[in-house]
Amino acid sequence: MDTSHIRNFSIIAHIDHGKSTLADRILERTGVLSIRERKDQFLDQMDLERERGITIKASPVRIDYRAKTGEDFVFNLIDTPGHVDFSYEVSRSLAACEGALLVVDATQGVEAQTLANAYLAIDNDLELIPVINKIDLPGADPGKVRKEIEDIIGIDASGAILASAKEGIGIDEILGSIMTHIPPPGGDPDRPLSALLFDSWYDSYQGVVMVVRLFDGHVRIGDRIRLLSTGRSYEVTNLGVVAPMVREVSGLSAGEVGVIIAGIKDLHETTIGDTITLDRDPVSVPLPGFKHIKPMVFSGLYPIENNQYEPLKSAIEKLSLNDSSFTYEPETSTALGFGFRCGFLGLLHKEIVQERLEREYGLELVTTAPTVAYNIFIQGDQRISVDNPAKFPEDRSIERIEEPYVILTIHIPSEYVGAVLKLCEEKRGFQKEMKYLTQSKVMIVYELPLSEMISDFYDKLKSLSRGYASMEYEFLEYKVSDLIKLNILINGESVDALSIIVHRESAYYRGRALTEKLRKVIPRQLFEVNIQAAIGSRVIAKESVKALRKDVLAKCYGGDITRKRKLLEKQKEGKRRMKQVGVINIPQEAFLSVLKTE
Amino acid sequence: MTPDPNDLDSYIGAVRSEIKLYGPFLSGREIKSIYVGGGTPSLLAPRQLRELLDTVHRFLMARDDSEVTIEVNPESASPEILMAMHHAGFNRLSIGLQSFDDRVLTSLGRLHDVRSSLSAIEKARSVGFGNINVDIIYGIPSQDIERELSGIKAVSPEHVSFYYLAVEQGTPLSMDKHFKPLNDERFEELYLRVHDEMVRAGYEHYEVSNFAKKGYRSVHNMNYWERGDYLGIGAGAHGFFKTGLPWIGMTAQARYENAYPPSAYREKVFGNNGNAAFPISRVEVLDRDTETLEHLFLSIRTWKGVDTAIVKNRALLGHLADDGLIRIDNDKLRLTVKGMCVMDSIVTELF
Repeated sequence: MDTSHIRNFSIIAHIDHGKSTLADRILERTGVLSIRERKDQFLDQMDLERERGITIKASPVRIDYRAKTGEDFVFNLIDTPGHVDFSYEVSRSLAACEGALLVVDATQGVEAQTLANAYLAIDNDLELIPVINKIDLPGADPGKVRKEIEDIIGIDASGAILASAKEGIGIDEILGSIMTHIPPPGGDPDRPLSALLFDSWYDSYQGVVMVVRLFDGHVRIGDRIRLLSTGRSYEVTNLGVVAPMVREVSGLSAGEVGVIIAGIKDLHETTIGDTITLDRDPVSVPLPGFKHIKPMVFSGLYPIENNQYEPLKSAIEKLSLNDSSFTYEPETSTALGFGFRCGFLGLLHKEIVQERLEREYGLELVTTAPTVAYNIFIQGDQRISVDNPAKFPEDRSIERIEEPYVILTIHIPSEYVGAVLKLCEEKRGFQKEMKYLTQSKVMIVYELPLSEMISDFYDKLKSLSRGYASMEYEFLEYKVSDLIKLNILINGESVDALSIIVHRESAYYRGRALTEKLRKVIPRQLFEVNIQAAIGSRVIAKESVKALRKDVLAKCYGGDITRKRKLLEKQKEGKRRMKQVGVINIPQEAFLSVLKTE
Repeated sequence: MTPDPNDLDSYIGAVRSEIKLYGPFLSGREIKSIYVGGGTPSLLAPRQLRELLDTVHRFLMARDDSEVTIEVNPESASPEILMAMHHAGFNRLSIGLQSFDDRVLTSLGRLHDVRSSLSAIEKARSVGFGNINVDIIYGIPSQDIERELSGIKAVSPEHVSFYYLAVEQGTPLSMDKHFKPLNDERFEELYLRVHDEMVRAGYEHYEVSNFAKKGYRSVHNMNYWERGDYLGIGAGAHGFFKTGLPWIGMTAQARYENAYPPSAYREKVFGNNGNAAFPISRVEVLDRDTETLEHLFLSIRTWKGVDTAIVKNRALLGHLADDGLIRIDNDKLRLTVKGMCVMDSIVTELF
C-alpha cells in the first residue's frame, strides 16, 4: 500500500485527561464504531480497564479516513497504556508511530505524566499535536494550559486544538490535523523485513497474536519469520489488521500496522520491543530501544484457604498466558502455607493481577507486603538477588547490599512544596532538581529507593497535596544501602511473611510502629499474643494482645440452638480465614500492615 | 396489651389440637418434663391452664414425677394465679425477677420492682411451690453484683439463671448512648465472683448460666443440652427429634419450627376445612458434622463436658489446659469457670 496515505499515531495524556473518550469519538466519527455498538471507551477491553479508567494493554485500531478532497487515508491509532508501571510498553508503542495527540485537560494543565509521555514521544521523534480537552468544563482555562504546554514541554502550542471529547467538539479538526501534521511513514517495502513487535496477546484458538509495525520490507502468509532476540523462527499462518475486529489480509508492508499469527504457543517467546524479520533474508541490526523488562516489585500470593492452592496455581498459569510481564514461582511460608512469589512491573500491575485472580477466577488471596529485589553480596564477592525478606541471608555473611533506586518526578502546586520535600526526605530521597515550571507549578526531582516508593508513598503524596500532586518515576540504578532484616516474632515464633528489610537507621522506629500496628489488628483471642520485632536475636520492640476474657452467649435453650450454631459457624469461618502461627490466629490485614506503618 | 379472651381461647384450642395430633405418633414415648413459657403464660385463665395440662396427660404419656414448669412475671404473680398454676399441676415456677435493685430494673425497662418480686416468691412458697427458679441479669454498668448475690441468698431459690445482659435492638438500653458493655476483664471478674459466691451458698454451677441446689437441676433444660428429643408446641415453638419427624414423613434427624404469628399457626392447625394439620413451617435436617458441632457446643456448657474424642483440633487441648481454660479427666473435657467466660472461642477452636 502507498505509504503516503498512512498515518500512524497515538494519544498521550495524563491519567483522566480524557484519552480514552477521545479515542472513542475518533472511532465513532470515522465510522469504525457505531454509537449503538460501542461501549464507553472501546479501546480499553478488559472490564478492569474500564472500571479503573486506564488502559493496561496497547491495542491498535485501523481507521479509514476520507479527506475533504476525497482522498482516502488509513490512520492507525495505537493506544498506549496509561500508567507509569508500563512506561516501557508506552515507549515501544510510541516507537511504532510518527506522531501523537498530546491531550491536556483544560482544567488541570500539564501534569507529571503529560510531561513524561511527551518526552517519550519527543525521544522517538514524534510530531506532537497539542489538544486541549474538556474545554466545556466551567474551570477550563485554555489560554493558561496553552502557555503551560509551551513553557513546560517546550513545544509550540499556538495551534493547539480546543476540544471536548465528551461533547464531540474539535474531533473533525483533530482528524484533519492528523492528516496534515503527522508525517507519513518512511521505509522501503523492498528492503529486508524489519518490524517492531509492540504488543502481543494470547488467543486460545490462534495462539500468540503479535501486533507489529513494519518499518521496512513486507511479509506474506506462508513466510518464515524470525524473532531477532531469540533467533527462533515461525511460519506465518495469518495476517490481519484490527478494524476494530481482526480482519485478515494477505500481506503487510512497510509503514503498516497489523497483526501476525505464526503458531506461537507461549506468550513468553514474544518480547515487546523485539524485531521481526524474515528467516530467509534477515536484517542484522535490531530496531533500537529493545529491553528485557524485569519485574520490579515482588509479593507473595497465597490462597486464604490452603485447599485453594491448586486453583490458584492454574489461575496464575492461565493469567501468565496473557501477561508476559509478570513472573511467578512456587514459594512456601511457614505462616501462609503454599503460594507463589510473583514479580510485577509496579504496584498497579500487582493490583491488577491480584484483582483479576480474585475476580475472574473467584479466588480469595492473602498477599504479603510488596518488596523490591535486593542485590546481596556475600563473602567472596558472590552476588545473590533476594526478592523475599524471608530469604535474606544471615547478617554475618553479608558484605554489602544494594537496592534499586528510581528517579522520581513530582509536579505540585507551589503551596505544597514544603510538605512534599519533607516526605521525600523521610523516604530517604536525594534531591536532584527543583524547578518552578510556572509561578504556581513546581517540579521536584528526587532519587529515591524503590522500596520506599512502593509502600504508601503515593497515598501520602496525594493526601498531603489534597490530590493535586502528580508523579512519574522510572528505574535508575542499584545503589549500596545499609539495610537489615527486621524479624517479627509471634509468641516467640518468627513469622516469615511479616519480616521486612529496612534501613538500619529506621529499624527501631519501624519495629515499634509495626508491633504497635499488629497489636491493633490482631484480635484478642484465647491465648495472649506476644509480638516482638527483632534484629537477629536482639528484640527491639514488643507489644502484647491480652487474652480474651469474654466470649459466651448466656442463654441456649430449645429455640436458640440453630441460631447459636450459626453464630458459631460464622465465628469459625472467620477464624478459618485467618492464618495460624502456633496457636495464634493472625488476620490477613496483618500481613499488609507491614506496609502501612508510620 | 391484653389479648382478647376469645382469641386466647381459640389459641389454646389450637395448642390442644396440636397436642392431640402428636398422640398417635408418640405412643410408647414417655414425657419427663413440660415447660410453659415464652410470652406471658400468666395471662392464661385457671381453666385454660388446667385444660392445657389435661390435654397433655390425655393424649401423651407423661411420667408422674415430671418436671412441670411455668414462667411468671413478678407483676402478674397474684396469689390466685399462682394457686391456679399449682392446682393445674405445675410443680416448678420460673420467675423473671431480673434484679434485686430497683434502679437496675428501671434501666432495663421492667414493669415490676423488687418488692413485687419478693412478694411473688413468698406467695409462690405459700401456695406450695417447692421448686423455684429466678432469672438474674448482670452486666449493667451501675449494677452492684453483691446486692444481687445477697438478694439470692435471702430468698434462697432452688435454681438461679444468671444471664449476661444481651442488648437487644429497640430496648431502652440500646438507645442509651452512655451505655457501654463491660470490658473483658470486668466481665470475667463478675463471672468468677458469681460462681464463687453461688457455690459457697450451696449451689452447683451445672451449666454456663445456671445454678441449682442439689437435686434441682432443670430436667427440661438438661434435655436441650444433651440433645434429647423435644416437642415444640404453639406458635413459633421449636422442636427436635433424633429419629426424624415421621408425622410429616421425615426420617432424618431434624429440628423444626412452628408457624408464627399465632394467626398463621392457628390457621395451619385448624386447616381450611376443619382438618387439623401439623403447623410446622420450617424443618432443618442435620448432617453428621452439624450433629457433632451441636453435641460439642451444647454438652460443653454443662458439668458433664464432652469426650475429647470428638474434638478435631486435639493439639490445642494441652495449651487450653495449661492456661486454665479446660480440665481433662479420663478423656472428658470440661470447661473451668475461666473457660466458661470464653466458651464460644473454645468451641470454634476445637471443632
